[in-house]
Amino acid sequence: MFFFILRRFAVTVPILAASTFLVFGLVTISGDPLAQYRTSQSPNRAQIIAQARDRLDLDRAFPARYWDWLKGVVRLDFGQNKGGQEVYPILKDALVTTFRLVMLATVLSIIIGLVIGIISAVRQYSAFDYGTTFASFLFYSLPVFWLAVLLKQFGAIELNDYLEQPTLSFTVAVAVGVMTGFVISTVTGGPWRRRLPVLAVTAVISTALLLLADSTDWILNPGLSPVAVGVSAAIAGVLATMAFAPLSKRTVLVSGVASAMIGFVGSLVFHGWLDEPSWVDLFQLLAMSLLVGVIVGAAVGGIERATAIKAGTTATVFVGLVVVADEFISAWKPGRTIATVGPQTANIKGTFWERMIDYASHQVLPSLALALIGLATYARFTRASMLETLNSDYVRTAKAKGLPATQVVLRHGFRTALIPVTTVITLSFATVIEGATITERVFGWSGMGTLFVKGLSDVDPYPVMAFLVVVSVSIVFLNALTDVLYAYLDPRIRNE
Amino acid sequence: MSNVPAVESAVGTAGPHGGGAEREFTVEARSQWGLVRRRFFHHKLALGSMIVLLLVILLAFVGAALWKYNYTETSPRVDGRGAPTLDAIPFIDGDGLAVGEHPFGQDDIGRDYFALTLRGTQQSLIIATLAGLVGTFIGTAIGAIAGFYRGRVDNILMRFVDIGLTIPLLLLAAVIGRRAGDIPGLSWLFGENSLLLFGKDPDDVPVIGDYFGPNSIILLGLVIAFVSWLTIARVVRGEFLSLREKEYVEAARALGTPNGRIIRKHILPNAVGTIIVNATLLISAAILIETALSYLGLGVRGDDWSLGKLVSSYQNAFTTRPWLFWWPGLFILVIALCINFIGDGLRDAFDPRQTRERR
Repeated sequence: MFFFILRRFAVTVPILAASTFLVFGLVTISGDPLAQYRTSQSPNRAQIIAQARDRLDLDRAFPARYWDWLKGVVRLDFGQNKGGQEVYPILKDALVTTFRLVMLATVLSIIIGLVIGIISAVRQYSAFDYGTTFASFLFYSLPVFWLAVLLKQFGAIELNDYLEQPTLSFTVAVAVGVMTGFVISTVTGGPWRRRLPVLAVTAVISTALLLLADSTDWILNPGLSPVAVGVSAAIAGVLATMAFAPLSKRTVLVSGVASAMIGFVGSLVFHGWLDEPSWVDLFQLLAMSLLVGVIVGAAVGGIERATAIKAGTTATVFVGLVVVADEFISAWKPGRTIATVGPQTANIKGTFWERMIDYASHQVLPSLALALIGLATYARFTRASMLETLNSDYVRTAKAKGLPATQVVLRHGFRTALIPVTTVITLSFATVIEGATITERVFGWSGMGTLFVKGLSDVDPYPVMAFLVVVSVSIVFLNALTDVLYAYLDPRIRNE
Repeated sequence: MSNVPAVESAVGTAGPHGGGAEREFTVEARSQWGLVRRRFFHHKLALGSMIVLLLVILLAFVGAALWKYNYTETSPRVDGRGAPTLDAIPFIDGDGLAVGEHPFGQDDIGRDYFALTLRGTQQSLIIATLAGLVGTFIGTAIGAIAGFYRGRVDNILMRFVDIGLTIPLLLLAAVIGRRAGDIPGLSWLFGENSLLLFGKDPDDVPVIGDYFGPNSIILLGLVIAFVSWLTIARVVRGEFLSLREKEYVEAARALGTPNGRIIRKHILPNAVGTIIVNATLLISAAILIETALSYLGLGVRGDDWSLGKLVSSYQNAFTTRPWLFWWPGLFILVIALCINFIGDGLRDAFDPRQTRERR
């Protein structure tokens, strides 16, 4: 496996060299970088032109310039733009901005897309399946900037109006409750006779919860009490167990629930850390929760050690997420939260969580625009891939020998179905950076896309090259990663 | 930019010609194409989408020719703002069905927006179809060769694909857009005295934009094709890699069939499902790519229109004249949605493994 990985990544070097050389040539012929100076009226025009010529090294042939540029890039020196600024710091800022946008969108769309895909494959031809299929086709056929402009017009204004006065009327609560019940009931499957009680129960419960939240002003001042955190920790423990093993495996169940409980206790002990954390603190807490999962799993797992560790770590990480989400929503205050321009409020001050709220409020719409489209693709592919595996013989065998349905679907079906889905995900992640160009433009973020498009229209070669290096490195790297993941998920490929 | 999905499922491994009817059965023999057609026509959503798409095409090409306004001429604005006169839902204001003078309204200088939208639809459809067809053709050829011959040929071709995937469409569009006139072959094909004008004066031909010369949309289609063949090539290669190991290919080889004939007559017909499905997805993606390029100012330019250019030109009019934003967007959505549904129906028709019902 090690040599396989080594070999696969070694191939990427000549591809990168060829690709950057070609692109450098394309950028060179794309136009005259001095055009804007030639028409200038200033008296020292000749001097300006000579300066820019010198800076961009235009007197030498392009292979020589490429070679110099390449030598620079290895030392992280990306050259200067036409105005004489170093490209590297600009690139770094742009990359951070775009990465924030793309990462959130990708993570969201992968998680939601996979879940929707799995459910709609398991409940093929249900109302849920038809609904999500139609929705994914719809999102998939939407032009990104059209969706983005619509989100900006309607999402921002309507949501802000609501967030200013976040109260619920009785009818809205009932409507939302019934809707939730309906969606849940389409997921449960089976004949209407079986689904109706599910609909009724979920509708009543969610309406009651909504009304409770409204009457106690929870929406105005949200947050989770320790009791709520504890309950969700217990649920997380059981769910994490169910994802990896049948509940009858006592050791795994003990590991999952015990880890979750320790995580809960830990959250009470380390609560002070979360008042004004740094990113390092958060990572330390994450590492601690992973460690708790591993230790508990290894201690109680016995023969099921590996599974117990998986269940334990999943449970603790989930508890950690709940705790962080609690801090996050507690920091929110009613107001016109959703912002449509730029990646953050300029010179923002405040606590860590208030800054996070500010980031999130700027990020929600652009990320949503990107995520909806990615989500549609992933959901379609997961569904198709799951259907193929669910109809295969070994899945029938697994059902026949009496494995619980979650086990059949997740361990026998999903694991195999994941193989083609990984390709789609890794391949599309790289194109997302390019796709973000448009979203950035609509929402006025200055990230990688802006760097690229501006450089392209100004015929400014080095910023364009900087963008292209990042994109081609990520594409080539992710292609290689796909192959490695493939080999991990499907051992047959390695042996070829 | 491109979200061309690759349908990498093996499709239709059954023989292409279904075999001759056996006389002792009274059941009518169905060819593979007959089965596919039958399954497709039973797929209501796909069939409906096909009808809608045909109507849109008819409207764009025939309707635009019959419509009383041209997309270039201006006329006085009807109610000051030039709001749409179309009334398709008779129950709301009680006027009943009415098309009116300017069903989609007018733009800021009084051009009929219905004619503009139809013009944009024409152009977008041509660009997308061209990109889809050319991309599919190149991709299939390269993928077939790579997958069939394997080894060194495969390695070289696939590295080309890898390199191609790293070149952004935007850069290509910008370079070709700016420098098309300087490249000898391109200016010969697309320049002022282009062969494609068939000797007509470029001024007589509707001006398609200064960006790519008189035949900009054709060049734009080719640019998009140049990017989109890559995914098809990968998919077809995968398909060929598995199909070349089948028994019937071995049998054909044992009979001494030349390689070219094996590719064309034995493997290609079995890969055709995958190819067609991917081609439809490519076309719908090309529509979206075209709109994205136009949005960034790298697509259709000059006096001519595409749907993407319409949306991007009028996006700032959203608060004052929302219809200028809605109509072209809806057309893009409807076209892309229809093509995607047709692709889905075709996939189910070629590869019924994902459908549980017998059709």
